[in-house]
Amino acid sequence: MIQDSMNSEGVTILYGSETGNAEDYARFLGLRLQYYSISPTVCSLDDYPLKKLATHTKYLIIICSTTGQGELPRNAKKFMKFILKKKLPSDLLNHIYLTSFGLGDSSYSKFNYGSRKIHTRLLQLGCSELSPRCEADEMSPEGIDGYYQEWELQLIKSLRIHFPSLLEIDSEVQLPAQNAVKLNTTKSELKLSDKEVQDLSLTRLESDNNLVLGKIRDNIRITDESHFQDVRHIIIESQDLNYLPGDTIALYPSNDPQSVDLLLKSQPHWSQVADLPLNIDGILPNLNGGYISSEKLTLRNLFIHHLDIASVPRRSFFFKIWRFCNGQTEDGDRERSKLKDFSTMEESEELYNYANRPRRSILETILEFQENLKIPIEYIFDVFPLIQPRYFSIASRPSPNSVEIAVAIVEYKTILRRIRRGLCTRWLKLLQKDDSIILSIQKTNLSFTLRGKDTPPVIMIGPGTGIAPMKALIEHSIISETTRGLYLFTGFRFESKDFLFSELWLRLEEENKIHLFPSFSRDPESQSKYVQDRLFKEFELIGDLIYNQNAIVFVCGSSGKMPKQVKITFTEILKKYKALNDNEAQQYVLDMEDQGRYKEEVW
Amino acid sequence: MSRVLLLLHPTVVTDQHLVEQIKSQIASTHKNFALEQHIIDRVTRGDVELANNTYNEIVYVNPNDAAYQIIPASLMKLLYEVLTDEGVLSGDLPTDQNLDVLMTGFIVNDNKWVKPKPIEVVTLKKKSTTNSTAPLKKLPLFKKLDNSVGLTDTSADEEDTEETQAMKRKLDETKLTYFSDDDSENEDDEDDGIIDENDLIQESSNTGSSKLIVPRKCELPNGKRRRKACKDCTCGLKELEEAEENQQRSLQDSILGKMAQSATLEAIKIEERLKSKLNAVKFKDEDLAEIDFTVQGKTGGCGSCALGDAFRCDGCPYLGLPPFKPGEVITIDSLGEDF
Repeated sequence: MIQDSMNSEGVTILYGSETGNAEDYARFLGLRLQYYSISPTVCSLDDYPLKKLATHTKYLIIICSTTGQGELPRNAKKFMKFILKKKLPSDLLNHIYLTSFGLGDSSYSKFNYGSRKIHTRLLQLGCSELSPRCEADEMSPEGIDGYYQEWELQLIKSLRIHFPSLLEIDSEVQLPAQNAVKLNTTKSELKLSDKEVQDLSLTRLESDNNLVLGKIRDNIRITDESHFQDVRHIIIESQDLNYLPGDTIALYPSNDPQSVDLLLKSQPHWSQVADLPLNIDGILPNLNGGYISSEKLTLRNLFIHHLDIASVPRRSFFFKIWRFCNGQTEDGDRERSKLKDFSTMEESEELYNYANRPRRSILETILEFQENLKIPIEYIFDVFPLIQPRYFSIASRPSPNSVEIAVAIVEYKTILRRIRRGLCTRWLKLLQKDDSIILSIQKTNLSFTLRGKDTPPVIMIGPGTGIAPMKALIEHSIISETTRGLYLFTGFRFESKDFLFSELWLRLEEENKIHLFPSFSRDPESQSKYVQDRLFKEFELIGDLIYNQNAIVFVCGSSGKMPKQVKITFTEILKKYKALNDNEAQQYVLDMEDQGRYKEEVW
Repeated sequence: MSRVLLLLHPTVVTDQHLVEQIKSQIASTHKNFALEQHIIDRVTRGDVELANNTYNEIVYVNPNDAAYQIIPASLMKLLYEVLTDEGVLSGDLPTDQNLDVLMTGFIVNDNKWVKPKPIEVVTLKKKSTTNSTAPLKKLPLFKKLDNSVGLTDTSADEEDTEETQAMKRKLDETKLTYFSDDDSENEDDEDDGIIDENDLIQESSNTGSSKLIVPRKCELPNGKRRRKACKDCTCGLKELEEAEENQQRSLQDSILGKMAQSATLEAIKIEERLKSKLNAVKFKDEDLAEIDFTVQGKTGGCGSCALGDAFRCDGCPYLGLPPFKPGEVITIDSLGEDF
C-alpha cells in the first residue's frame, strides 16, 4: 500500500513476487515493523514511483523471488530496467540504506539471481547496507521461514539502532485501519440484479487504461467428456488488440455470489449492511485491472469483485485477524490463541498443515472460526488480499479482433471433502457466449529471431496446455515466415481424449508445414510416454538442429518436473551427439539461455 | 615451504594413473612443499576461491589438442593474482596467446609464465587495466556533496541548518532528474545504455558472498525434522503425504458411515428435510458431509476432535471434516455450493 507515513521515516518495503509468496513476506514484515512503531510503505517494485527513491526512501528493504531462468518476477521488471541504465551516477542512491531478502530454490541453476542482481546493482548506485542480505533456499531443511527469521532479527536490530527512540508496541494492541471501510448510512441500499453485479466488473475500464473490453465468442470443452479434465478453448472478440506469439493476456475474475453470501452470513454484522454504499479511506493500493466504480461499492460488491476469499490464507492474514477473535470464553480463548499461532514463524508447520496442505480457503477458515471471530467492518479492506489477475498464454496468431486461450479447469480433492476449484477457472467455466469481460494484453517480449532478423528453426516443447503459445507461434510462422522449421513436441494422456487441437496438428503435418512428435503417457501403444522421451529418441535430429542450424528451444507448460527434465534431456542429447562431458553440455545449454536460444514459459 | 597448485582439466580427472604420475613428478622435483589440487572449471566458475599471492608454482594439466588449450583472459588474470611474486605457471600452456599473456603481466620464459617482481608489475598492470577497464566512462558524480558531512547522513538528531537544507534540496533536485516516470521514452536507443544483468551476478560473486545471512539449524523440539514436500518432490515425501491423505479419506469414509448408522432419528429427519428441499439433487459420496454431528459422545477421544481441524491432532480421524460442536446442527449452508 502506498502511503506516506506522517512521521516520514522513509522505510520502504518493495517486493517482486510471481506467486504471491514474496509479497506475503513483505506484508508480514510491514505488519511486524508497525509493532516497532515503524510504518513502512509496502508495495511492489514496479508500483513504487521511482522518484520516491530520491525523495521518500532512506531505508529500502527488498523482498524478491526469482523465476525459472534467473529472471525477475513480473512486477519487478520495470524497476530492474530502470536501475540497469548505465547513465545513472554511482552515488545516485547514496542516501539509502539497503537490505534484501531473496526467495529461491537451489535446485535451479540460477538460484536467487533475481535478488542478487537487484542488490548488487543498488550497491553500485551508492546504497549502503542496512543489514546483511539473505538468499533463502526453499530446498534447505530450514525452509524459507528459517532464513527469514534470522534475516528479520538482524534487520530489526539494525533498524533499532537507526531509530533508538522508537518503542515496541504490545502485540495485543490493535492498530488503526490503514484503508478504513466506512459505510454511508445516509444513503439507501443498492439493489442490483445478478447480471448488473456481474457487469460491474466492466466499470474497471475507467480506472485502468490498459484494459480493453472483450466479448466471449466461444467457450468450448476440447477434451473428451469421459476425460477427467475439462480443458476450455475460449475465443474472445475485441478491438485494436496488439500482440505477438509468446504474449499473454490477463483476465480479471470475480468471486461467485453464493460464496460471498455465505461469507457475509457468517459475519451477521456484515450481512445486515452488505448492500449499503461505502467509502474506503486513504489511497488504495495499485492494482493491475483497477477498481470497480466507487459509486457502486458495497460490501457485497467489494467481496465479489476485489477481495480474495478463495485463496489459501497466508500468515499475514492470520497476523491481521487473530486480535478480532473474542477470547473471553474458553472456546474463544482457545481459538484466539490458535489463530495467533498461525501468524507466527515458529508455528509454520501448523499453518502449513492447517491451510496449505488441504488447500483450505480463506472463506472456509472464517466459517470455522465464526463463533468468536468478528472482523470489524472498518478493517475488511486491510484484512483480505486483493484478487489478482490471472495470466494465460495466447493460443492464436496475432489478430486485432480476436484472441484465444486454452485453459485447464482446476478441480481436485484434498482431505477436505468439498471439491477445490480455482477461483478463476470456476469463473471462466461459467462464462457464456456473448458475455462481456475485460482483459489486457501483457507483453512478454519473447523473441524468436536471432540478431533481430534470422528465423532459425524452433523446437517447441509444449505438453498439456503448454501447447497454447505453440499454436500462436506456428500459426504466425506459417502465415508470415514461410521458411522456418517448426518442430512440435507435445504430450497428453490419451490420443483420443485430451490431445488438444489434434486436428490442426495432423493437418499441418500432412501439409508438411510442421514436424509433429506427440507422446501419450497413458496409451499403452504409444511409443514414448513423455515429451522428454520423444526428444531423446530424436537426438540426432535435435543435435543437428541445435548445433548446425542454430535452433531456438521453447519450453512451455506447468512448472515442476517437466521443464527440469526437458533441460536434462537436452544436456544428454548434446553429450551423446557431440561427445561432450557433463560440464560442457550443461555450459552449452546455459550459453543457449544467455543467447536467447533456450526459452521457458512455465507456470 | 613452497605451495604448489595443481590445476587439472576435467578430462584428466578420470585418468587416475596420469594424475598420480604427475603428482609423483612434482614430488620428485620439489622438497618441502604443500600441494593443492583443483579442477580448472571450478576455478573458472568461481566455485573454488583461491587466495591471492599464495602459490609459488602452478602446474596446469591439459592433455587436449592445442586448439582446446586456450586460457580465457579472465582465468589468466586470476592465475596471475594467486601466484606469489616470481611465482611460476607451467604445464600445458597455449603457445598462441602470447599477447594476452603479456597483457596480463606475465613474462614468458622457456614455456613457463613468470609473475615478475612488483616494480615491473606496476607498469605492466597499469597498461593492462587502462586497456581493459577504462571504457567505463566516468559519469557526473555528486562528489562534492559526498564529502560534506551529514547531507545524506540520516542521523535524526542532527540539526539541519538552513545551508544544509538548501544543499539537500539542490541534491534532491539533481537526483530527481534521473528518475523518469515515463518509462517508454527512447526505448529503442536506450538498449545500448543498459548494463548486462549477468555482469551483476559476476560482480556479486566477486564481492558480497561473505555477508549472507544463513538460518539457524532447524530442529523441532521432538527431534523430528519433518517438512513439507517440495513442489517437485523426488525423495518420496510427496508419496508419503499422498498415502497419508488416502488413509485419511478412508478413515473419513468409515467414520461417516458409522455416523450415518448411529444417527438419531432426528438427524435422519433433518437429512430427509434437506434432501426434499433440494428436490432432484442426488447426494454423491463427497456430499456425505451433510451428516449431522450432534450425535452424543462424538467429541473424540482427546476432546479436541469436535473443535475442528485447527485443533485436531496429527492423524486424527476427523481431519478434513467440519467441526461439530455439541448441540450444533450442521446446515447445508455451511457446506457450501458444490453440488
